[in-house]
Amino acid sequence: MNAYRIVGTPQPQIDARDKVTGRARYTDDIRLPNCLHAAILRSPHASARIRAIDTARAAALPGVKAVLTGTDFERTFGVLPISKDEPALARERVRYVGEPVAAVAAETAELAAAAVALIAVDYAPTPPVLDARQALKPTDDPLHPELQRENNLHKQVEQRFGDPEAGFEQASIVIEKRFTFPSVTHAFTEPHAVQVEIDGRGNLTVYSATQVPHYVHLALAEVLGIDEHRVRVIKPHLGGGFGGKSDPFPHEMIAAKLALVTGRNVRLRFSREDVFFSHHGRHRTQLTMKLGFHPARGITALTGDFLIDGGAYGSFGVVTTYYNGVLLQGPYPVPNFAFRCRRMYTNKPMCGAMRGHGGVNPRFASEVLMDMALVQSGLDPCQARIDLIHRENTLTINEFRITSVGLQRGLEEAMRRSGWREKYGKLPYGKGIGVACGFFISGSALPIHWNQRPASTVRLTVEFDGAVTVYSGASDIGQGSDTVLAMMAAEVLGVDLGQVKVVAADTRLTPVDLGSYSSRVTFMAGNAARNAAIRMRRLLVAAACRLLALPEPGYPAPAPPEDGFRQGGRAPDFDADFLGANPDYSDGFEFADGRIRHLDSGKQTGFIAAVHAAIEGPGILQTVGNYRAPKLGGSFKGAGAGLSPAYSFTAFIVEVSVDPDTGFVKVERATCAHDCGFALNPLAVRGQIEGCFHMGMGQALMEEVLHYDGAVQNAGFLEYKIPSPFEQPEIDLVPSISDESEGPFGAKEAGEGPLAPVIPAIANAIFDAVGVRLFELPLRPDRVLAAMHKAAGR
Amino acid sequence: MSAQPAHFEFERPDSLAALIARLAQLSAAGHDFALAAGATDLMPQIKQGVKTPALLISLNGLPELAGVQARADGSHRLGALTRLADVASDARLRQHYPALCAAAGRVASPPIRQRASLGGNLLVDNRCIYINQSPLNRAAHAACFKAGGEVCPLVKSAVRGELPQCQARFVSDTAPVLLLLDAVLRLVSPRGERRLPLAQFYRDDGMQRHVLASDEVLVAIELPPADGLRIDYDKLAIRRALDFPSLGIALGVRADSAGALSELSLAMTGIGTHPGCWHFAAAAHESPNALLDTACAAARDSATTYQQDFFPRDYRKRMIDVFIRRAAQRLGVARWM
Amino acid sequence: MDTRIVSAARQGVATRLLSLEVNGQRQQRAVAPDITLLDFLREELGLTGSKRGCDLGECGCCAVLVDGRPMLACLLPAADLEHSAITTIEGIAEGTALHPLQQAMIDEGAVQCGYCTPAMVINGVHLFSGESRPDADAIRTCISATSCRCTGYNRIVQAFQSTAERLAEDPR
Repeated sequence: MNAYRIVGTPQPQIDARDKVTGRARYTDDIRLPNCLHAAILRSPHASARIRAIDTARAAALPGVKAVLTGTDFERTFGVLPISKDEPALARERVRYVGEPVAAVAAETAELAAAAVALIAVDYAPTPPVLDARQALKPTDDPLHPELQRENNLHKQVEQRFGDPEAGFEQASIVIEKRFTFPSVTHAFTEPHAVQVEIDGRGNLTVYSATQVPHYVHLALAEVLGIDEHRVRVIKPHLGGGFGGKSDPFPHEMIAAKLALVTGRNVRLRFSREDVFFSHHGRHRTQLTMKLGFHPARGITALTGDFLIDGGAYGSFGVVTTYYNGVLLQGPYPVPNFAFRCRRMYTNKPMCGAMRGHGGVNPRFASEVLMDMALVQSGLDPCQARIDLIHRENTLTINEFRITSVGLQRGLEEAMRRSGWREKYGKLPYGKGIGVACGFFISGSALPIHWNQRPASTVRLTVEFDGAVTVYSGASDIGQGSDTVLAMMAAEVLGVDLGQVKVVAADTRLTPVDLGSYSSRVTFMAGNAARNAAIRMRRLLVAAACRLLALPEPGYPAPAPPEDGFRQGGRAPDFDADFLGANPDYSDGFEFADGRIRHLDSGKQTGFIAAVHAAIEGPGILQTVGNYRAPKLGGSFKGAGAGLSPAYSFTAFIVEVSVDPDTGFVKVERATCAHDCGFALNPLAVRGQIEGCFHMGMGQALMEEVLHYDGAVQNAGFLEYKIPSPFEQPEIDLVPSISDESEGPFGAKEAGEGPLAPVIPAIANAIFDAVGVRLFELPLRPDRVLAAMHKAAGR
Repeated sequence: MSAQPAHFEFERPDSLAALIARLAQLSAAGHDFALAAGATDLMPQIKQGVKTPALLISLNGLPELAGVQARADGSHRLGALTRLADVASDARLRQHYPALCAAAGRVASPPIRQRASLGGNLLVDNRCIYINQSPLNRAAHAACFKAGGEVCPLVKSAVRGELPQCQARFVSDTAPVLLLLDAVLRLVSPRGERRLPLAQFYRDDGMQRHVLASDEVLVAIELPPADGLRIDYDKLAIRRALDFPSLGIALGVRADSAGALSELSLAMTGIGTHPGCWHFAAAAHESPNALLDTACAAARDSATTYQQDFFPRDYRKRMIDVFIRRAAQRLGVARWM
Repeated sequence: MDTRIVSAARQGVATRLLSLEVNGQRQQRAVAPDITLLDFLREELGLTGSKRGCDLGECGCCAVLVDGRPMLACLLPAADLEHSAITTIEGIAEGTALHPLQQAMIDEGAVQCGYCTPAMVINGVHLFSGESRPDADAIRTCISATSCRCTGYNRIVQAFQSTAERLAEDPR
């Protein structure tokens, strides 16, 4: 039962009215005075040496204020400290078609574009490396010679747990298959944009369409060689990210440098094609996976060998390399497990983090193999999965701490609602039903930049007028994080949602938050916001007690979660700064309707009166809330990858029609059980799940980045096929029914986990419909038809 | 780099006479111009530098090109400027030529159909994944014929000057239906007015796509009475909205006075440089299946496909039969004979 | 010079005086002959509610009403609209009263990142101006021009359906 006033109830986004009226300002909507316009010259070669760049004609054009080339930047950068391999502008060589080579700032955008066209670059093309297999071959001219490797390997990860060989021996069924996945891209609707405002002291305010203002802040200072305190990064309204805006980017460095050089404000925006060059999408993946299964024992062993095509630079690639393997540790126990993943550099736009980061393609493979094993065993693929899902409060073989698991009950309910038992194996030829499960992190327990700071911090104020302001560094990228933070503060403080203001994603005004990626915001920033609000509540209770002549209630020290397991078998690490995760805040008072009421005595005072009383001493009412992940994980190399304080679990049951003449697959309906713990904002959860389905279905059926001689061949929304409204089915959503004791109000993530199982669920439904398995995405009509013909012996 | 669009001057004559006079003047001076109605096909090409007219002449001020007129004999005159959305929703057209309305309603997306004209859809430029790109992406490989270069990425042996020199494919959704309807084009130029059957309009080349002179204006499309001709149009596209046809099939059936199938007609878009169009007399065939076999073979044999869009070439070719037979099923061809 | 991207300052290109009605207001500017309506709205008038997602007519985010019909502003030469009446998203609400579709988009959770939202509303306003009870197919057709990557379209369809129900009860 939901005893809350605001959380748990569907809430439209707090800025929705601004969005439906066109008032919301996105980065390129800002109008800075006396602003220069920047343009970027991009490489037409996938691989070439830069012999010379002649910028004289561009610089001489009246109205051109600055021209930059690679030599204007001394340092390379990258989101991960371990692979800072990307230059703001190419130096000495270009590594992909579309790589920034030079940049201009001029009085108008048109002039800037004209000036860029006057820059003469003398390229000496070299043979490009366009495929990950080719990148494995020894070469004396690797893309990144600084790594001193004999080929184009970027990162190799190998992990081994238990005894896979023995595990396969115990299996009654062993299946091994090769799978191929093209690269897909985020296709958010707002192209990248940045605007830089410079003041008389040389301070830079950088407005950028970014998921990670804090990382951009750090990278700008480092690449520009200026003090960190001279930078301020603000994320205005943002038109979708999905991981594609979670790195610091060259264009941000370029615009900021142009502002520094000219002393003028600078505006820079991307064309849609530029976005495809920037990419950072899902890695093209070739993988072999082997599953050992026994009806009585479940999965006995799982091994995988992954080759992922990273493109020209590192981005999040090291993390991707780990996630390809470690995210296979759910949703079922895998007692014997080994994988190797190799990320290769190639002369193509770089890949990085995309919704479901690293876990999506291996999930397709594992859930298709799982389906094959269950079918071969004569088990019901749905019921068997329910029986196999992780139990609560268990440890995986690689020492992930599994806490709440609500998927068993969720999938049972989804089975019932979808009519699974009446349909599976019983639908006429061409109609099918399929299921697949997944699991995902609720934020990474470890930071990218190693430090002892909290993972998230929120500052909260209450002003003389009763306004509650949440200051958070978290980026609302459209998912509604501002709204959910406001909801939690409003819930704890008993005020209307409208009374809560959110100042977010401004690195001068808001405490450090690492950004919106790895599904961390609701869990981590949410706990921080909740704790800040609880501390504020205590200040107001103290003031109310003074006004009402009541003794202050005593508060228990933050209690550890109910058993040692919840801290990974270690002592609780709560300290004086940290209230813990999701602490109980009952204090004998009720905050509601603008009143603070003592429950036992019935005495009450006004909220504003308490605010005024509390503000008398300090002159300002301000609290801080933190979130720190518990100490988790093993002590082996790479143990930190995939560690999260909580994991979400998802199952999709999908019904499809397969056209026997054309091979067209139509998803008719879907039922989803997603365990996100307590759904703080059911409207947002539903939106995330439906959005995940759209993106997963796109990857399943039609999306693919095509290349020709290294150039992106479908760099636009006409030829890069995103499903239209006609392809999207109705989705029946089973309410989440688990409770995650460490999540704020019991919540876990909902933004990424639901994507991965969509794809294998569709593939498994195709098998039920027409009896064919496909091992290469997308499941295009021609491939489905060819498989059907092959199966029929035609 | 972001595409730097070519700059153009802009004119908007307010009568056909004024336009024709201006065209005579511009042609004599060898001026580089483009005529624009909805400009929904032209503007992206200008922005991507595929076309670089120095002057854009809008047809939107010409009353002579607007409107749908029904004539006493059952024929119709559709102004070339009639917007596709209006074609799709016009009550008279829906009564007489429902397949035309359906095809017009399958073009691109609603706001494009509000602007794009029927004439423009007949003249929509042939497309190829190698030409409909930004300048940078085109520069990433050797320039093709249509880009002014000396190679064709699709046909390695192609030679400039030998037709068809360019295999950019025909993508109009309305043309196949209008072909089956025996549409006639009214064309006006400084040399006067001429009527030309649509069937004689297109050429087998992705660059020199039709016989319209550069100073000639498509003014109207005339449709004879439908006279018992029933047409089905369907297109192959991975999405039900937005996409150009990877293959489009219009199939027509005409009854004789006794109500029996007398003629089967077929037009194809999306494959090849120009729309194919065939007519088959039912009497020459023993059965509906034999008739359809002939039709399928004709379309299939004429089709040379290339890897030019979402679907592989073999698949697009294979779908010709499927689309023809499905259209025949919807039209009830089997019941008719 | 200030905020104008495509401005009269272009060297060597004659400007023309363009007169348009935008959201009921006559607007006159000297502009280059080849600027698009989208540039005119965003850069000359500062009406940034119409979004630039691709500039090629493929994403649909720049839809505006031209004489009541939804069109893509990025494909329209502004000069071709002399004397037309343009309605942008900024002109849809009447004062503080939202169009029922705007309210439904909010209430039904059809708004996530919001970048496609103005175009969804523009297309929808046109739909509801002609058809009070559009069916599911008409709704999907109506929203198909505009690329939404957040919602999967389900909530948007829902918002349109609830608007249809609301308008059936209480026609505006």
